[in-house]
Amino acid sequence: MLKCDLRVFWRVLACFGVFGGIGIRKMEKQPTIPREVARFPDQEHCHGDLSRRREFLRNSWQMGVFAPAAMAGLAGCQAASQRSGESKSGDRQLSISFVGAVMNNPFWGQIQKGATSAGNDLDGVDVTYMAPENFSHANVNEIIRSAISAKPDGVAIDYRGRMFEEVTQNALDQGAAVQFYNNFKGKDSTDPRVVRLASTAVGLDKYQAALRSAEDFLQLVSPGQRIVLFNGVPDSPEHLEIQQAYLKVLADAGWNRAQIEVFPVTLDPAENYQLMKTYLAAHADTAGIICWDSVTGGAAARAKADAGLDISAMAWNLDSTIIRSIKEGTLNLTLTQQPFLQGYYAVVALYLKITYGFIDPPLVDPATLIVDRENIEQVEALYNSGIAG
Amino acid sequence: MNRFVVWALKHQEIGPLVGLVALSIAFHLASGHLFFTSGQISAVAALSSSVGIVALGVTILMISGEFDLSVSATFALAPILMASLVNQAGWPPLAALLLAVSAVSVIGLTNGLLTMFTGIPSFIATLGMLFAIKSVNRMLAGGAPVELLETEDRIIRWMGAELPYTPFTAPLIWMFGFGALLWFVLEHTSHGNATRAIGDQEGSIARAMGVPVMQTKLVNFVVCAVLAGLSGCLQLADFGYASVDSGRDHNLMAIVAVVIGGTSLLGVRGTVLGSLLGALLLGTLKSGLVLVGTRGEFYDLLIGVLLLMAAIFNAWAKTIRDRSGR
Repeated sequence: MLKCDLRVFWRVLACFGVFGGIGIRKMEKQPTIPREVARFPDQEHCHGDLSRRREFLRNSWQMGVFAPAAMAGLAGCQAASQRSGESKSGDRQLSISFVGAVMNNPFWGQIQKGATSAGNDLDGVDVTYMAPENFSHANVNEIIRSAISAKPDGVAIDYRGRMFEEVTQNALDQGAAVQFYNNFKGKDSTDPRVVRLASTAVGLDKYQAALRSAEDFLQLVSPGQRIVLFNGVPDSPEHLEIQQAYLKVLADAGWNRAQIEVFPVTLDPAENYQLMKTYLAAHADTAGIICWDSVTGGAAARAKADAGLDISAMAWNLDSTIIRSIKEGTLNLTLTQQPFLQGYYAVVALYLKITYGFIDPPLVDPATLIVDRENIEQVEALYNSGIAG
Repeated sequence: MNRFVVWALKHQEIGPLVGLVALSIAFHLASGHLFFTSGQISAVAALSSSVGIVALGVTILMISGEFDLSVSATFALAPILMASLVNQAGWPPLAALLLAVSAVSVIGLTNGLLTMFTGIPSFIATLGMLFAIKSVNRMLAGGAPVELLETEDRIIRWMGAELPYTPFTAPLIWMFGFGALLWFVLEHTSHGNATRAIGDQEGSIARAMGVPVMQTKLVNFVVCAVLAGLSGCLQLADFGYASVDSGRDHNLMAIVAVVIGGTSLLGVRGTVLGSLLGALLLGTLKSGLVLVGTRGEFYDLLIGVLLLMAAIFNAWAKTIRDRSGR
């Protein structure tokens, strides 16, 4: 922390010196009209030299401040950067850029925490987590581009499809180690390097995770009963993929399409709650609710409780509402993708690649964890300590 | 021109009122008599009141010739702030509410000052503010829903309680209360007169006649932001938690409600009652479509069609009024 603050201090000092100096140079170049000349134009020759001399003296004094500041700042930056490149044991510090999908999100906060924890636990690894303010494939792609332009030793990429292929290749071409995590849809790439990365990624295959959670959920409902799938982010390809997985598993288990309803909602919890309440009023024969995010799941649990119907409900991920709903029995189960472990393992995999030269550390699956009333107390303790989400 | 048509064009609340009644009856019949049940009326009331209170502020601002696109972020900011102060700092809910409302009033004032002093359109000034507040919301809430832990406080119950012997919750009553107050201000005070006067031709005529244009617009920006923040806090009291995505479309939905209610996008014309009916129409449409089993994707399509129809009708009505000299 102190090291970081010192670097910032030196940079600010250097900027102050350099830009202050530039400002003075510009002032010098600008033709100035001395006050005396402006007031008495006829006396220009008398007072012109005097005013220029005063100007020069003033600028010299200012340059005397700015130039040493610039030199001290640049020297400090150099020293700090040299120090920051060393680990506790004196070896060179590894720099890892960890690119997430979004800032300030509970799920991504856990991934970030896992990644930075791994950086702290491994000696000489400096992990920088970066993510866009708002999620979109384009925004994430831009952040990856920025991350690799800083030439880190390793980059962790949430590879969501072909649009990430070029930045991944750029990172590999400049010699950085790359690790896919959370999403790894590169198996259809024409670049064998990307295919290998997709085959050795850290994280859950969401389609498989949906199938896995459906197995538990199907024990709570019977074929032919009405099931509703509330999709909180209907425009997201990843959410559509999960939706497809549930539709497939329900179809395989004997449901026909008319007995399954896909209902797009939003991420506004209060609005979702009202719409779900209305839906359940119109379809009192609903036997199962499937959601795959915590905001939608929390609203569904509450709507189900208010409707007073005997409905089985499941969600994905964890937050305080989901935990309380499982404890109260309004939500039967939730699936956690163990984001902390995804962040942690991705950094460990990069460390192994960079330090020991492993080409293909094996695929790391942090395992789908199904949370229900049996293990909720244990998971809640982890959640409260910030390492389960 | 038929006198009835001219009367109807003058009272533009008639359109949304007829639409509301017709839609309600249609949904009731199509859903197997499920619409006029306490559960559905409660859902319509909750969906309408959160947009309706925001729409009230947007109405007064649009009449004075300005827009506020930041209301959806303000709607989320106030409850996040209120819940955080109550939960983490242990503040009494009333004090937290007052501070949250004060904070959003500063946002409204800033919107007004930006628009007045920089000369940039309010559309751009408040769009910038929208992004800025969304970012602040994310920082405050950290992405997770913020739950209000103190729910037994008297103020919280006043704000969000279910009304005994009715399917309604308090926010609906608050909406009509704020509506009545705003109607009085708009129709019976000098501020209301000034608001209509400055909506015409960017206030140039009003300014020439000595109307305090800047003061009136600033007050309207503040009122708009405060009502958006209050609406968010009322929803928090009713629902129990808020998130950065709370009211995410309310900036656009409020404009839709206001336009459906007959308020002109060019200022001057508009009524509080029309906007309230517009909000109720949106809530009815949203809830009714779910009830009759329409695919959720159709909702936005219908909103778009409804908005276009309302805007075209308003433009046509203005032409007829201008021709008839009324």
